[in-house]
Amino acid sequence: MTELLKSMILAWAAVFLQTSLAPNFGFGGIVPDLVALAIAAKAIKDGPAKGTVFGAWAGFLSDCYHPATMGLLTLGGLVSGWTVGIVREGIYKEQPLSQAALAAWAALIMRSFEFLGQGRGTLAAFPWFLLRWGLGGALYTALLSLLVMAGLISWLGQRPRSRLD
Amino acid sequence: MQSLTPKIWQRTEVAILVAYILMSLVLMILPGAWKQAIGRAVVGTVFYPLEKPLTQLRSLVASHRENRELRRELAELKMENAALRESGRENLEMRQLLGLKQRWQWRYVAAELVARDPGIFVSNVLIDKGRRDSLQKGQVAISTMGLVGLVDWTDDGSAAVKTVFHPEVKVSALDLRSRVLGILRFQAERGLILDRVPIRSDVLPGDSLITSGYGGLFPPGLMLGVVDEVRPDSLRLHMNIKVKPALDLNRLSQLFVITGGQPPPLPGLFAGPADTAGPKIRTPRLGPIKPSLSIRPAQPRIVEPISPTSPPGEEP
Repeated sequence: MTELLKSMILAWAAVFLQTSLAPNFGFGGIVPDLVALAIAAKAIKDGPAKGTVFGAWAGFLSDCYHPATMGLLTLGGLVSGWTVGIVREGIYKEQPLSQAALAAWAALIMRSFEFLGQGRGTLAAFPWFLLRWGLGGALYTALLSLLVMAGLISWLGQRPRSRLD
Repeated sequence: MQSLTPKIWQRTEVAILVAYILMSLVLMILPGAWKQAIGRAVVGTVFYPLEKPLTQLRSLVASHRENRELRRELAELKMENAALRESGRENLEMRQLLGLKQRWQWRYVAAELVARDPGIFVSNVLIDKGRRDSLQKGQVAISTMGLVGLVDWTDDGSAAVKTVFHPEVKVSALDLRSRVLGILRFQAERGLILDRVPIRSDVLPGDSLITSGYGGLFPPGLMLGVVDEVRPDSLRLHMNIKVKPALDLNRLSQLFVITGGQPPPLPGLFAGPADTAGPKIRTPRLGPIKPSLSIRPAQPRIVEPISPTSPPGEEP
């Protein structure tokens, strides 16, 4: 019950801070992706199944700000959660650098879905988009993850639990 | 038995993944009105109650900082205002002499920005005024920086505004110096661009762009941005014009929604002597201009609201 409550609070807080405060900390149009960071934290701690569920709900809350393409960020969030949960099994998930890489990966996936689904440009422009907007945002998210990921994971629970434990 | 456990676990994972993918696909195929209703309900109940106080706190801190800057600007504007009042008085006298009507007067509602779209390109913003304040879908939102966008949906106490960075928003734009017309729109790979400008048109970097008002959706004279880069496209039929937007959403905290009034007259398309005279005379290049937004309370007279003639978001 506590775990569910904590997850709900984290998903809500991530979207709330992303929409209200994160733009104030952007530079050159690059803003950290707090929703991706939260999804990565949950998936690193609890694995792909819970990462998927959490990602879907956090993505759905983000979708509510852009109802025309509702479902898109839900899909992006669940794919992020699932892939981070799967990848964490093969790496040293307790290391901050690994966690930062996973947060960056989650941010890249979310941005890719946003670009491809919202009809923002042609497919040919996708690599440029990733380089200009995706990579910058992902690196910013990774840097932020180095500062807050350990705290987030310990708040969610004690230590990352592996299915191989 | 133990060796089977990971496989079963994997199956559960896959089942969850498939179930949630299906859920997201169902969300995608919902009718637009349902999607908007869900979005409005969730944002209005789950986020808005806390976003509003946070915005008020933030604007309190920001207003302290802005106050000093505004005092300096006020002194400058007072001087400018005195000169303009004199010109206005003269203009009024001349118009009365010629029997022309009073030009234009907008009615608007001031609103605070409470949240932005969580995506990279902020195409929607949420404001703290809604149907209670006479806001309606399709009304134009402006700020001291220029055009912000169009009201997308309204709730009782909040509304969402589609900004000029929304892919569906296309604005008929006018080069203030050369009077060249084009369509301003946003592209992810290039940012704001001025589209459909024929090759060899007189558009130069540094030119200011304003709304032309010809689409009937946006009133004329609102600042859009400054031409940043001009080059011919690959087929050499049109020009690729990159525009530096006047609107900075990171600095935007307050905006005004035009709820009615009389729009200003449409601007002329002729650049004056430069276009009509034989030898080409280059008019002085104008830098970014400050939009002339009059922050005065609305007049008591009843005026019809501006009624869009095109579908919201696109000008013909």
